[in-house]
Amino acid sequence: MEKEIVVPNPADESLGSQLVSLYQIFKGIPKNNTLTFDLNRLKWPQPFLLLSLAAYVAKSGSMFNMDALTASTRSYLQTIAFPGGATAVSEFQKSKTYIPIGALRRAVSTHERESLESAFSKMIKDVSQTDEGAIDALYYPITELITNIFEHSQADVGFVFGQYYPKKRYLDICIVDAGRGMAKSYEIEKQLKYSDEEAIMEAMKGRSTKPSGERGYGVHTSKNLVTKGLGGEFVLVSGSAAFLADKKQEQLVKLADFYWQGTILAYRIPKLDHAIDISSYYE
Amino acid sequence: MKNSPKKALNIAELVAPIVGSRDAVRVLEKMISKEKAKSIDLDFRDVEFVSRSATHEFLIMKETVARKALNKKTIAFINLNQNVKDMFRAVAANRAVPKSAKPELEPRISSIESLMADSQKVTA
Repeated sequence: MEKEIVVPNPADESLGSQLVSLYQIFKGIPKNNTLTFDLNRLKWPQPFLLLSLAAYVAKSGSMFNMDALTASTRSYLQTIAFPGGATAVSEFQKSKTYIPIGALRRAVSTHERESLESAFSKMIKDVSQTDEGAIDALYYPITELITNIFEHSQADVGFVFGQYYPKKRYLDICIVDAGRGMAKSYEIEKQLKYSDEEAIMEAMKGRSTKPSGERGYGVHTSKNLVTKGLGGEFVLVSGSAAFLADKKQEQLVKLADFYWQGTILAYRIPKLDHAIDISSYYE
Repeated sequence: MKNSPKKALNIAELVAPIVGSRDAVRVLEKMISKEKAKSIDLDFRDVEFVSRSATHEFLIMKETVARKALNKKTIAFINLNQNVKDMFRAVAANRAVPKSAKPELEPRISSIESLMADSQKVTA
């Protein structure tokens, strides 16, 4: 019988608190263990935590217990296609308010995958009522960070999700894979043995695993755009380490007795209601 | 001498309105190599955005197919909206003169326990 893990409700809505909840869930759990997640304490599930659980379930075959969740929360989870995610463009046209989880599979054609990614991005734009002059700011980190799933993580599937909070006027976006993780990517592609913290730092400095030797830009330019450009927050988790950033500070956090197989990227940006020039963040 | 026919390829239809991945451009390159036309227009009408990675791949592709000894082709990018033009120019400029400075990064080294303590302060 699978071990039952209670998913704690985060202390507040911050990305840092969701990271703490994620840590509490998986602390001491061996990699890809089959579990049963008790979701019944979650008041309102948020993208970072929810998508990480969806990705874990897809990899491990784990289950959920949500018998005591409110009907509205269960309905929301169904609308967003939790946990399996939407795999067809038409599924992004069903709701005008809630963006479904996107499951991007390596096995399908590139055209199909790009179309699904496009549908996800456009829906995010529409639901969050992003100004036309700010669509670069919206699309840039999404496209750069999703690219990394198939170029670097070698995962068979990547998950994307977003939620706009109109009263709070911010947008949460999360991109998760259960691939090889950053440290393993450096080891296999470049024969560089890094700890998880070192691997994250190297990625943030633009040291790519690309065979061409070209610099890597996606993660650190996206982080800079989100935090310095848009005043948002950014979290990256890979293996046993996490990187948190906002416009004021950056932290590298060791996650003792915890291991995420793959990479989680979660960020929060304010509603983009006016034109923004982000060209200084391109490299 | 007969002019080689020109072929236009609609990127929004062949790939997607938002072009994200290098893979998509590589698939396009294979498609282009099978075309008989020596001159190919990549038509970006209805393309809203091209990622930095895909833009870089487009520029590499253009150079690669122009340098081939056999099956050489000329590629032109047409009908780019302003966002896409700006991205192409920025990526091309950085290819020509890369930014040499590595990003400065001095994060505070922290522990999960201190994050937990910060969370508890908020709820207290």
